[in-house]
Amino acid sequence: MDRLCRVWAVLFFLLLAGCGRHVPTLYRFADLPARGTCRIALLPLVDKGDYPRGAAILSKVLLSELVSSGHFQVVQEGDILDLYRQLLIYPDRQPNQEQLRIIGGRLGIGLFIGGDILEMRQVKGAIAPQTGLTMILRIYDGATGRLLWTTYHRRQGSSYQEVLHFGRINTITGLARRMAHEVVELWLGEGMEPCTR
Amino acid sequence: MNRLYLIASVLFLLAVTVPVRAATVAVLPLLDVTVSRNGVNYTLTDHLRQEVQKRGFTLVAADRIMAFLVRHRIRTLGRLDSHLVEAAGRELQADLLLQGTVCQLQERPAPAISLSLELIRTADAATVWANTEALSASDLTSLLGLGDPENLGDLYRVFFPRLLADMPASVPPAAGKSPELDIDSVVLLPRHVRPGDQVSCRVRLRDMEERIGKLPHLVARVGDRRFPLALDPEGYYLVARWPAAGRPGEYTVRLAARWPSGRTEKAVIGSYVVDDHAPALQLHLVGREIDGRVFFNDRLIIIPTLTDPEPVARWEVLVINRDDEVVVRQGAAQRLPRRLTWRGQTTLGTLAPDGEYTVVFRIWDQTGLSSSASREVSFRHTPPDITADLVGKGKRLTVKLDRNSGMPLAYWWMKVFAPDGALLKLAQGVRLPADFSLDLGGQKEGAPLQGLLVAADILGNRIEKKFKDLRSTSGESKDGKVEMEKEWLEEF
Repeated sequence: MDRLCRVWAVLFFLLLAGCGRHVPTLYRFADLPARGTCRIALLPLVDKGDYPRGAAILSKVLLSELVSSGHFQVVQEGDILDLYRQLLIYPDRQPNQEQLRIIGGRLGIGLFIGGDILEMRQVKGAIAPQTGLTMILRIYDGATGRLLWTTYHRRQGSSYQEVLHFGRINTITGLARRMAHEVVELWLGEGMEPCTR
Repeated sequence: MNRLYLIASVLFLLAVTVPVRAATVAVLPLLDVTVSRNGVNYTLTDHLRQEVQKRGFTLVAADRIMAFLVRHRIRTLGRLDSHLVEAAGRELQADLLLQGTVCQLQERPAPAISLSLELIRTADAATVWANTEALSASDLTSLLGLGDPENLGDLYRVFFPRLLADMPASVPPAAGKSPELDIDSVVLLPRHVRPGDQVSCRVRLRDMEERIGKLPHLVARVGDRRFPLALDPEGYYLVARWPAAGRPGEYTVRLAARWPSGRTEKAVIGSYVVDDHAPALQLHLVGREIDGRVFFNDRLIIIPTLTDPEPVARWEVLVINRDDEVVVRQGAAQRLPRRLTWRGQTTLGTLAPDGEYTVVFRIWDQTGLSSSASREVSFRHTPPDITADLVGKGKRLTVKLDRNSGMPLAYWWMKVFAPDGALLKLAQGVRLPADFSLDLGGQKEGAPLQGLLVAADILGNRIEKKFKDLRSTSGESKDGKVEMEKEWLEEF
């Protein structure tokens, strides 16, 4: 009987572990500024994957998630690229701290969000397309250009599968949207201050 | 009083019954990243226009939008800057701008589409709504497969209502634009200066030619110092020049603008570094160190390091011999190399002779200040010069080994063979001079004695000598090389 109880306990633990939330991982290097996180600039992402125009896709998805969260004012991508041109920064390069400080000062930005795509793929599967995305998103102080938070997130479309094919994410954009949503929710939950309405 | 009530009632009724003007939306052609970085998808744009119109918005005509794009030379869609958004509002009389990106679009193997949209208020260039929707035929697969979508047309019927489901029906009021200087470009040069050097700041505002006479009063602020900007003779830039401060450090330049209305704005436009000292350089040579001196025979690793790192404009490395002749000169611009390797060759490609050399490393920082460091090094690539003499007579002989010059030895060994190939003696050691005796008990007197001598110095210079007959000094092989056995030996 004892043995049976032990087996059940192990099975229950495994079941709980399987149902655990796969949340993004957040690393804090410094606290977010107490005020002024409302106006956000999304920096062009650095694409280290091989999905065609992956950075452009994730950038658009992230922008729409930030805007649709209703908590942030997102600076126009064209304004950021305009300052990249003035400061002679390639769009696929990350500005240095000094350049971030200048961009932040010129556009009155509270926070910068930048990051890297480490892997992005959508391949044909036996039943449905297989999607996967690994990304690192970074938050920088708009006033100083200092790195504040880093968030690592890695998921596959099948990670969200529930019963049969239900829940599974079959497009890379859909997966990026879901993951971006999870990251934004995590940031808000961890104390990122939204705009006051 | 009654009349007042009557007028108020009529006005209220008019306000209620007159329909609210539908917001005017300019739907820009969709950027299609599935085609290329600058791809355009007119088919989906038309679908989108129809869907937006169904929601009660007034659309700006497509040909007017195209004329606007051409007029402003907009080459890339989906990322308009604030000035273009505001210009679109003015020139197209649009309240809102809808720009979007086709992120995915495929017909086979399973139809899929994803689209990202941004609704921008032209009054303040604020994004008031955005949504990304993705749909694959696999998402709509039913258990029995009845009515499953077979092409993109089937997907569109589900996709667009989902995409635009929460699009606002009216324009939210502008929240007031945050103040910002309308800067088109800034040229702040140079980036690194010495104390007292002139710093030049050139600023151009957007549409400056049209605003001559109404330009704000601009002042460049560096710490407590203020430098007003004035229009240059060409009327293209607003320019200020000033001498760099005497104290070294990084100086941030802020631009302060005062408009004729009294409104003021500030912005950080750049920074420069005042540097009054040459970078301190240390030079490390990696070789064999003996009594505080570096020796090498094959490769010398040269590692320059900055004790207080700063950007380097260029560097140069020299190798100078005892006659003050430069045998190696190499340099490059910008980044300091982590390490360099000298293999003992001169710049002309010949091998430098053994000797004493001075390695000089020199760097220049961004302001032109230079510093250098040097180290002495000894190059030894000649193998040890060893002589073998046979002394004695009869059956008892002694082999005497000695070296003429060179580095201390790491090891030596010598084999002496009888004419029939039998090993008579194996001797070894680490120091020279040395001697060892041979017992020729069973050998015929005067028979030749073959010898093989191998020695290496502590730098790795190695010599292999084969003696045809130790009894004769001319018995040494011409090149001193060992001839390797070509036959299979059962025992070795």
